[in-house]
Amino acid sequence: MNPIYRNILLFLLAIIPINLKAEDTRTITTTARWIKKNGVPAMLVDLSDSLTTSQKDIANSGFSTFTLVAINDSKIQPRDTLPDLRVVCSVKYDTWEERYQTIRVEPLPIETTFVKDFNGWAQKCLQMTIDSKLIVEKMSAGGTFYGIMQIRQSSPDESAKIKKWLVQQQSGFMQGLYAHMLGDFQYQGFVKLEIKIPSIRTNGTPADTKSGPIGKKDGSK
Amino acid sequence: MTNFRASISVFLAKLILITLGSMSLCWELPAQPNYRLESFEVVGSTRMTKDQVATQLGITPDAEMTDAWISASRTKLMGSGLFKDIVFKLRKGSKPGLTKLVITVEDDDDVLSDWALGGEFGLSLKEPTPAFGEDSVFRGYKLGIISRNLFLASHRGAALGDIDARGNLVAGHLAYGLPRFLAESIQFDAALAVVEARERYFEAEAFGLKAQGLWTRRRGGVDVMYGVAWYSNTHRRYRLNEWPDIVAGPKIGIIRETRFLGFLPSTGYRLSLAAVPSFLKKEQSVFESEIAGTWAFWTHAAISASGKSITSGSKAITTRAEGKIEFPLTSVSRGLRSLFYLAVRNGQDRYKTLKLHGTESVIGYRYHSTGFIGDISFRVTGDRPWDNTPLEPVR
Repeated sequence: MNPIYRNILLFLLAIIPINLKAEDTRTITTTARWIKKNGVPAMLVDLSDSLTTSQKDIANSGFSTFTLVAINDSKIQPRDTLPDLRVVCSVKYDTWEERYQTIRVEPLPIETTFVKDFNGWAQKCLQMTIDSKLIVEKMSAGGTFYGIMQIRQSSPDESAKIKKWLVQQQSGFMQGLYAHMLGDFQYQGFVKLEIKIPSIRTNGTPADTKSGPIGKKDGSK
Repeated sequence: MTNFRASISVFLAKLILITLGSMSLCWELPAQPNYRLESFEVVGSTRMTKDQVATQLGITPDAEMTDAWISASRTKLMGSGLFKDIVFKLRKGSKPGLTKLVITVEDDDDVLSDWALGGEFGLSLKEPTPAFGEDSVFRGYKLGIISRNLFLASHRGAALGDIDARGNLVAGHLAYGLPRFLAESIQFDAALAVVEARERYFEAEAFGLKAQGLWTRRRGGVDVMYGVAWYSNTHRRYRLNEWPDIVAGPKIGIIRETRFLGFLPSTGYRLSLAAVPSFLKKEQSVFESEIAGTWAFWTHAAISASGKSITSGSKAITTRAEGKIEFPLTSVSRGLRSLFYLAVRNGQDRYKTLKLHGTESVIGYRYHSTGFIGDISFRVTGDRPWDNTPLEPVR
């Protein structure tokens, strides 16, 4: 082979594997449970055990933390609109009082509570009960929900502020200075979710404390 | 995922506004006390020392730890470009009311080492010509390195060299910038650039050698720049024949840039006007103007157009124009990693009897990996002023 083309080929072969091994955003897989809410079937998505160490650290940081759990019944792609199913909270841990001040802003109505332990906060902000008749019927045979869980300490417009600042910095001769940024910040508190929905007939989870499970442990209805 | 996150951010912003408004109108929330700082530490990185962090964030003993403070401090540290995430944590102090602050930072691994280095390697190819041998397709190599944390002190620097197939330096760029942080609205940059016009006609902008030192101050969304400039065409290699030999003097100008000029294209524009007035010889005064716009669509595809003109007095004018289209090729969840682009360039120079005109079309591939950007380009068609003549410009 001509040495010129061999060099080009080697260059391409060298860079492609680096591309392929680029690390993925963390994805958490969990399973929802079927419960009865007010006598009708509903799905309970509980992410309180799925928090990463980083996310727990952020929630326990002592500063206000915004939490968002949002799910959809299709894979969330860049151009997707925001899913309708979501829980949004603001949480602040008081280091001396050792309690969480929780303001759940969605679903409405807005609810403010003080809880002593982590589980109390998690129940408010990391659990979602889906009782929409349309979704329940659609998912009764089982399926998968996709979504995101974000626990962040920053204000929601922080990324925009930082980018604006970086734009200012590049205005002189340093235009290439930030060329190596991919333009998106990799916040530790951001994870993707994959939530398996079992069939309503094979739901073998233990009984919910407030409402009974639909399926029996042996899988029969 | 970027657009999706953006939509979440907008949604959250609205939500918080509603929440804060509702809270102030409807409820008397129990006040959460803000604690006073007893001590602090920085963990997770050696890119900034504890003292540097204290200076940049204005951390003082007994400071009150509020949500507003943390928000401003996070923005400052993230704006340094050294870290990809920062978490502030409070721990109990030695007595009630006091707190210990732990700042956990995570290095941005898209830049290398504590000096936050990045590099660029470019390989340009062309049609074989008799001048370099019929089987040679190499046009040149481009090697560059940049740092945003020189000397571990937030100084900024860049060096770029473009070497032709014979091993000659045909274009080079050295730049240095003083540290700048969010609290400051001013920055200082100095740069030295050389271009061999015969080899890199489209990069040569009226002068083969340029040195300048400029302060840039932000005023209401516009950067006002002022400093000194020295432009020369006296070097035997780095010059544009017959243009004024030397222009030197104060330089003033304004810039409005709204694009983030990272690896990925973003929508926005750039307008800039600058002048290097010569009070002794009016015809040597230099005026520079630039207009550029980028429209990003789909996911990081973009169309860009730019035009630039440099005039010296009323008779000499250099213009450069470029149209470019970029398409994403591969993508991973951390972000886009490679782009395909097609660019069309046009250049003209007019001065007295000198008339130069060149066009070229370039097809290329840009790739981003940790710390490095690779660029392979091929000149599809080209019409340089000197292509058909040995050395001197066409008259």
